[in-house]
Amino acid sequence: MLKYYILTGKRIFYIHDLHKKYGSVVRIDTNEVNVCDLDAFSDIHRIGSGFTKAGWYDRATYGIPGNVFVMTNVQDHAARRKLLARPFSRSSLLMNFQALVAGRARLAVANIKREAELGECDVMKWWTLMATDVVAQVAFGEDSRLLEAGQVSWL
Amino acid sequence: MSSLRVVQKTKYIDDLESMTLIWALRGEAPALYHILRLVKPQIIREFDASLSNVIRYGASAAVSAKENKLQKHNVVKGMVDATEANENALTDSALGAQASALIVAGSGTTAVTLTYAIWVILSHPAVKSKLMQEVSALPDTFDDTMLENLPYLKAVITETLRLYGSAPGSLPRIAPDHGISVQGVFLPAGTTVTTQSYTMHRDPAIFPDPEK
Repeated sequence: MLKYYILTGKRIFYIHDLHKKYGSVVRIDTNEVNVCDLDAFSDIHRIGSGFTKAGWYDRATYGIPGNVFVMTNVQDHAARRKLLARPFSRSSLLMNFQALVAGRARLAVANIKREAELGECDVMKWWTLMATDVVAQVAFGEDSRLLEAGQVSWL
Repeated sequence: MSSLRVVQKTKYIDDLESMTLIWALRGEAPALYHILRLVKPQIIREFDASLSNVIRYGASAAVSAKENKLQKHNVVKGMVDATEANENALTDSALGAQASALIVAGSGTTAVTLTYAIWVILSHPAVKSKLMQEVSALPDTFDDTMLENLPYLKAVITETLRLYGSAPGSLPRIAPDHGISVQGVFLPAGTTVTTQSYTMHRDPAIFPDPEK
């Protein structure tokens, strides 16, 4: 039953309805329980809670093992977070990328406006190009100009 | 040269999208993935090729960062510098994997949230006019700090994230040895415990009139 809702993209709505019907703890699979409770949420997700990420994370990012999203070893994870902390600090982001983000955002908005004036506008497309340009620069230092190319092909 | 770069870039986006799709399949329905692998191996092979392209791209960026070829400040370079400073250096492929993970995490999520923000503002005319009033008072030379100090803009953004955040689903965790007790229900060690923000963000006990 759960798999059916997952494959049709309705997992969250299905679980949401279960919560409405049965309250804050619902069993959704043989060994899986969904919880909607503020205290439980912090018990589960706070640092040092003892809860570790389930196998879903490894499966859902296979091919790039050991990235910060899937690390379950607490020490490894802390070390990686430390490596990433400096480039992602507020001052580093503002100093290095504020002009980039502002420039890309202005171009995206100008492109949205131009397309909208012709009739219909695919807003999601332009935001995707903008966000990819920004993150490619932030992650790799690549001078990405997808917004100028103006297209992304969808599957 | 520049159009060639664009073509390569667009290919990279295609590869990233294929990769995300196969991740979703493996994450949510591993059995189906294995069936597909048996029945339609060529599809899986194409996905695997996309995956290798993405990883190769990341690894080559890591090499360029080490050789100081990359312009400007960036995360790969920052990680290279930091790992060189202490001895446990990350391999090029680990750096590439990390940077690729950041690209996946940073592009779709932002685009989805912004798209919902536009939709929700346009479908609430009163919100739209109040927001426009606040934003139009900004000088032409506004910067990020000024934007952060706009209370209504901030409220619109946090409400968009609450209702239409781009990761509304489960964050599965495995219960530790001591298990956990929730509202009188004991969940033993090894249980997969998930929490979904879609429901938590609509809890009337926390947010009166949760649908706004």
